[in-house]
Amino acid sequence: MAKAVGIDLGTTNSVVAVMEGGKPTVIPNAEGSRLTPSVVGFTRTGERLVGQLAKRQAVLNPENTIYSAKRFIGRRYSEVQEEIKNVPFKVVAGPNDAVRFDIMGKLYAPEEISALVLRKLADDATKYLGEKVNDAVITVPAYFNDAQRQATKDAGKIAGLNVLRIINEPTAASLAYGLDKKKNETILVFDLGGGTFDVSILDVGDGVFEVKSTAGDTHLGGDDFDKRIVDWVASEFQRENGIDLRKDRQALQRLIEAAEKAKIELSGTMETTISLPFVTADATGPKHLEMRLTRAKFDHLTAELVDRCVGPFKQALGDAKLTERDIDEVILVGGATRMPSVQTLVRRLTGGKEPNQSVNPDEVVAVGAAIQAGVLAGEVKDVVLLDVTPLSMGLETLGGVMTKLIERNTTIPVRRGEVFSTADDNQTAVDVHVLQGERPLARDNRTLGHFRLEGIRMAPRGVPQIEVTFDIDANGILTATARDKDTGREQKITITGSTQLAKEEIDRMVRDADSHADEDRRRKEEVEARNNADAMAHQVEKQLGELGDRAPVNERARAEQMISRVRELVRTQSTDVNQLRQLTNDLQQILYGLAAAASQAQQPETRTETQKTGTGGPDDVIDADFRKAG
Amino acid sequence: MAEKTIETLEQDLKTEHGLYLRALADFDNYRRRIDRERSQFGTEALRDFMSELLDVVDDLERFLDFVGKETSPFIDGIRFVYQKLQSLLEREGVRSFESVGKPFDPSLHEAVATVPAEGKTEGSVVQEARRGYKFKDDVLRPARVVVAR
Repeated sequence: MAKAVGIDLGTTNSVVAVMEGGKPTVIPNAEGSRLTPSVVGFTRTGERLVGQLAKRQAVLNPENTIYSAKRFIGRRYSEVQEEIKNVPFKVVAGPNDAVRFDIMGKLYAPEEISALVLRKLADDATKYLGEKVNDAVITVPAYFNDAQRQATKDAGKIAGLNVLRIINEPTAASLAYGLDKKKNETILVFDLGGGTFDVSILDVGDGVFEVKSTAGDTHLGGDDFDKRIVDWVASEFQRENGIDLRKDRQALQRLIEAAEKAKIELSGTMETTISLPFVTADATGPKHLEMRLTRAKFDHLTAELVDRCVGPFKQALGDAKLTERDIDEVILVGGATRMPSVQTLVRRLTGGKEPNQSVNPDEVVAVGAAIQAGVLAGEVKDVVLLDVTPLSMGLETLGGVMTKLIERNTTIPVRRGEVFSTADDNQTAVDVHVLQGERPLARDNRTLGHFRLEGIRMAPRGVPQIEVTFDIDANGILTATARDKDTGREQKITITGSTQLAKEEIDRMVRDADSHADEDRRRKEEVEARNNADAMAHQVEKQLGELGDRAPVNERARAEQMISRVRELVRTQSTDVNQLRQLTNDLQQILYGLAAAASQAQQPETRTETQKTGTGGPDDVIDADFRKAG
Repeated sequence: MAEKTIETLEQDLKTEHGLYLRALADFDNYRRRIDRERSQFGTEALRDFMSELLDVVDDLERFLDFVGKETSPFIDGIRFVYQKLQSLLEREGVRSFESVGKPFDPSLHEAVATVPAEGKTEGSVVQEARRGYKFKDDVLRPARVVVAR
């Protein structure tokens, strides 16, 4: 059976994606890249090159290398006079004022150029999938008129594709986020690509999208940001060295590349270094370029570009007769929306709304088109949608720590279990505190329920084995079970609705975990330090008890003093990690000493198990905060 | 009535078992693809790293070009570092390829400029602005070249 693909036919780059096993997958091209330049080159030998290869020979052959065909498709020759000024290839008027590219005397329509790009994408997809690709959904900007849409559809036909549908780019982006399931919502799509900027406002209801308004700037994009860096670096360099790197082609090329790299790095770090050793030379010797660029400086250099997004944004809202408060969802599209300054602007303009950006912004349009293609080809209809748990689930263990049994985003149904033990000697019951959330400490998470397992046989701490199992069925119902392996006694609790939290609630809990990460780590360290000290004190105490008066008197006195100090620190919930660790180490040393004393004093037949520690033993038993009964 | 129920249940069981087998098969396929992708990712990550490293190799070459045939214990030291780096790259399958004098080929070359042919074959590479490298049989990065015209 033939597969249907989704194609984002872009001004600068194009992307193709397909539904595979019910999930959208972006298909890499024959050169191994997920983005294919929308460029076609005609060589003198009559060869036609498409994509990266066409781009590489553009300098040799500028008049026969066509790019940005999307700016011309479906338009009248008289409408594109401004665009013509920006391109090195020959654009002429065809019949009925149509646009034609003159390539070595032969005339090509823009749809023929786009067809070559589409053909390459479909061929590469066929190779990747191992099956013929015939059907496609192709995206166009929301502002495209009927002629432009028809011409895009014709490009598909020329490429030999069966165009299932032409859909709007912002609609595709919304589909990628599953927003077609929403009832009566307003979606704002903010699309800042390599060279174009579009804002669209859509209404969705009952799976139907309606474009309320669009606005944009056809010549604003990520490349402009690179250029600002290049200009700044070049003028600084010129000021210091008196050499203009922009006049040296080789140096300029290195600089342009380094500028783009710096821009990308500054999305993740606050500062980067642009380093171009031996960038040029003069009579005095080689010159090196080494320049620090902070994010603040970069934001300053590009503030004017970011500001240029505000006008179209406000215009789109105004045209739709809406205010920022009416927007329910925001979607970021285009690689340039990865820049923190752009994201800050979007948040500010939408009244602090958190934008959707989990799908790669370079690929989100193609992904949405692939989903639409899957639906139209009937592949997606009967897919069983498996849910995931939105938050982690676990139980409270020693010292108030949350031990996770099921991590967030685990596909359900799922069943996970672990063996725990008692925290005290002769403990006959355990309390199971079932929790949901991402914070390391139990008290910061949400309580789902409590239950108690009783009738555990008296034994030293760490000996009983209690198996705790969490089972979430396909409906999201959690059953937590605790079973004493010794007696077979079992107790359980069933919690419904654990997966049905409101999205805002889930987001808040995940955000909290992120924002408290440092503090939580510290608090968890404190708990661990207390637990370790307490466990060590317990072992030393046990050893002292077993040795009786064979223990050296001074050692015993020292040990007892330290044990009572540990008990005091644990009781008062001390946060003095250093002191707790020091005490744990000292007690460990004493324990070694006592063990040595014991083996000297004792006959081999009564060897003690001094090294059996409570935590992380070979049988994977974890001390749990199962409090003492009664 | 009871027979009817048994029949329906058997039918249901068959359907469910089919779905179960399908899920198992899906998972198996998924695992296989992930395995395949993981090995690809490994190579991809290595390729990314190699091409970043080549930037540093370029810098070293710029230095060596600059000093030309000059020798001093200091410069010779840097030459040894460079050779060490080259042999390390070669051992991992990264090799540079010759471009000058060859006809321009967009699968290997990226044109950055043209110069008048002046006796050279038109369309041939006359100068390398950046060396091209292959990783095993694939082009790791194309050579940046100046072409006669």
